[in-house]
Amino acid sequence: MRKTHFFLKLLVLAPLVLAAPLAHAQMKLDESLAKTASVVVPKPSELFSAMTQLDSTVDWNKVMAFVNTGKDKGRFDYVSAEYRALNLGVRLANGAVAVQSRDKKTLTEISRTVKSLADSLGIRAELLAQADVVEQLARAEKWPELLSQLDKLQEDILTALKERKETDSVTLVRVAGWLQGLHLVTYGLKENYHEKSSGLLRQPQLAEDIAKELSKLKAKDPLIDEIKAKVLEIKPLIDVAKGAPVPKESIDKLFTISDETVSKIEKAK
Amino acid sequence: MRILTRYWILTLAIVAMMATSSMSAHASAQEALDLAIEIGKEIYKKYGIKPFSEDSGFLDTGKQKVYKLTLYEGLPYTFIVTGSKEVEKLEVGLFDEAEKLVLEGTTSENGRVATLPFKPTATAIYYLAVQMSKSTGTGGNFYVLQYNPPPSKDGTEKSSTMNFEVKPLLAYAR
Repeated sequence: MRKTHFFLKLLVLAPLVLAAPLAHAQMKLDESLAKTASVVVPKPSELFSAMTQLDSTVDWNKVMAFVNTGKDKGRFDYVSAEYRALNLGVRLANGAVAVQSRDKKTLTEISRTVKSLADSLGIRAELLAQADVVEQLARAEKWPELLSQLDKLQEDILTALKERKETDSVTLVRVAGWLQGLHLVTYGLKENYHEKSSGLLRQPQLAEDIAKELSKLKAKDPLIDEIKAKVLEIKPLIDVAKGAPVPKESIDKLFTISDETVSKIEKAK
Repeated sequence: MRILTRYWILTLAIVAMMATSSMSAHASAQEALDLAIEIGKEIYKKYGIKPFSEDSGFLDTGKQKVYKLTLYEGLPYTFIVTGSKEVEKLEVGLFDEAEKLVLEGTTSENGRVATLPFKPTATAIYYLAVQMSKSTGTGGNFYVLQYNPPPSKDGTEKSSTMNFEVKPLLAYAR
């Protein structure tokens, strides 16, 4: 009787004992790190690619034509490093639109402006040679490679700025790029509203984090304060439920806010 | 005089130890980078694209590095993490806004490469956690690559919804 009991127990417990080492402990997020993790501001090219993915009818040529109406799009003679960094972010976003619209002439012009702005921020010459690669690829019309090369150029510029401990410039390039991304996407959506694509702008947490990042900057400047105020104005307009579209009325307001802000960045002294 | 000599010997020994430790830390970081470069070259050869974003660092065993990312609906992302030679198990996981696990990556047999392909169904904030689960020492260096979708060959169509084939990438960790 006792023996039977023992074998029965063995039969029941054996699979559990054998399975124990095979069971994989699920990864757990370090919550304290999650709370303090600094936000990674997405590059505008990512937003544009997502938009192309969701809406095949998006007219990037029209968006590019809108960019080309800007009188200051080729300017790089900004007095302060903060304004140069902000404009670098805007121009890199414009470059990503030029790739989407396959506009090699504009891309070449943007690449030269990016090079001048980065140069004025003290980025070393060998890195800026990558901007020449952008021009070469544009001439050869290698579009998929170009998108990747432009992202790499931006990444390398940001790394070089980080190495030089120019954290303010890193933040400003990223924030201005995000703002110009929002500006150009809302322009596209204002002209041709697409519910699914509008949902890509659902980034309330990001807007809040960006405002916090701007508060941490050492540089004190009225334009930066204004950008921060505008980002906080943007936040409730993009605060929709997960998977929900951003309404057309909000898109129009977002365009107006971002249009004014980017225009001030481009016109800065 | 004797005390002075001892002091100098001690100072030299400390400097030498610090230099060796710094050189070894540098070599460890280089190993993680070399593996990332090797994989990056393979991806470039196959898909013609470069990493969208990169980062690196050192992690003590059992510790994590957490990235707060905005991932867009419909875009296929691939995260690749490589480790230095002392790394025995690197893990990568993706968590949602509520900090709940969405997806765990796959780690290579020797633990030095972990990959995580993911395509969000809604635009949101996600936390990407890189974890140094096991190492031969106190920890190890890691290198993270973020890839966005490989465009179609001629670039005329929308991006492929396929992620990279991760198996051949995992095989890189020898």
